Amino acid sequence: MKLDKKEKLIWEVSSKITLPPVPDKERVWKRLIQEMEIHQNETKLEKSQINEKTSRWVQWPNIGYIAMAYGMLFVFLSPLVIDFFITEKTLTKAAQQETVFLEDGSQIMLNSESKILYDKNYNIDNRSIKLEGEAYFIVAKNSLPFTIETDYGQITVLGTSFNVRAREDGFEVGVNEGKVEISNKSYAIQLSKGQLIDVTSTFEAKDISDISITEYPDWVNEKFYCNQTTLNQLCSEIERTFDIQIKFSDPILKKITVTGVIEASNLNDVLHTVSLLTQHKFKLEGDICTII
Amino acid sequence: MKEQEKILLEKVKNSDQNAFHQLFSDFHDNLFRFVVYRVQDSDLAEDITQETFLRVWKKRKSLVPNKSFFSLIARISTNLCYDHFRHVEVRNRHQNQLPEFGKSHFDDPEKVIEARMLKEEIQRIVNEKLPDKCRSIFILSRLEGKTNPEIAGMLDLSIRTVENQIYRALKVLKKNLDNYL
Repeated sequence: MKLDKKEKLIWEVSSKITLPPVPDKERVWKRLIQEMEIHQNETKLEKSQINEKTSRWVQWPNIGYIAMAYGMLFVFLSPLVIDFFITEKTLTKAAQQETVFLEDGSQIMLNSESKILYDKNYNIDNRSIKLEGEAYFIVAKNSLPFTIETDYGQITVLGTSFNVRAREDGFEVGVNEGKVEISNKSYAIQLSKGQLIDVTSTFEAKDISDISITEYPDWVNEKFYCNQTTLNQLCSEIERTFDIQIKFSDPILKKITVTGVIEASNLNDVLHTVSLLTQHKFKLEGDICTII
Repeated sequence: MKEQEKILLEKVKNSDQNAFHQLFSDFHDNLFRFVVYRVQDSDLAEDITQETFLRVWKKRKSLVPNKSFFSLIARISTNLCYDHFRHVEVRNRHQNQLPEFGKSHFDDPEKVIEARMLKEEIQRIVNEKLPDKCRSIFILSRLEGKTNPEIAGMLDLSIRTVENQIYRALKVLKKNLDNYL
């Protein structure tokens, strides 16, 4: 490998960087072991809670029959089991957001309570993702089309950045860069840069509108963007983002609409703002908030 | 070297904590330096390194033993660095400050290039402008002093690919360092 003068200089200088010293490995290991134990205890607790629930319903007959039943179950399920270990899954809980970097250079940012699935052949013979919830996609340009399956339809792109929201209360897709195609069994539409659809179940060409806010989507920029949004829907987002429960003292309050851009980095600020906008008291006790 | 790694990964997959400790010992220093090169903060790098290994352990059942372990932890730690920067940048944007490190996949506004030492500029370009695999290879080569065959073994690549990636990194650096050379 022949280097010219400039490249030689870069080659030399690039190894001269001084880094802070490496911390004591064993100290880090001790902390790591503690975290591992905490995680182990948490999963044991979850498992025992699940076992408690099932043992109330199941009577355990002769142990021989049990062994045979499990044996046969394993034989039938093992392809599924193998599939489970070969499928990559990332999911987020409430108040959690996570970024996934894929092998082809694409990035997926997951909002709270969302899940994506893809198989080990990703970037080999397909770029196919299953999504439940909400995620922001930055898709690297590649000859393999990138597809996202949701309950409402499929989204296909070649290289672009866009948001997909596929939750129980609605389907929204907004494009920041590039083009995407959204299709279901009977229909297909295309969205380009700056376009958005926001529907409750099925979608059509007439649903295409323009993204009207300057920083889309709101959650990536730590905001809640509301345009005649019902308090019910806004509170669902707040519950997911901060892992709290919101109770309405009167169901009629759910229909109040809110319009505005709410800073979402801090729960108390959010509740304070929404309280002012709706002229109702928000009482927060622990992780339950009641609207009076 | 590769066989050893594969055996350790098999054991970790079966929840063998001693094997995990061995893996940790083998890769901790490399990973720390890789992370601190990017975030430039010892405490943060230590947290990210620890969190990376914790995630490996939590998802040990889905380890693929004949795939490069260093690639895996490089990818996980890059995710974590990115998550951290995203939060820092959102906060900074509210305070009208320019972020320290951009994200190489977003469109960055033109940054004000201050007069810096060449080596720091190299570090910035490596962190901001090189694609992930290229960056890993360049760092293993220049920072860790690994030979091309060693890097090829660690990352499951051909030696030719390693050479090409290093050459590509130099080209990117040369292009971006015009004022300094």
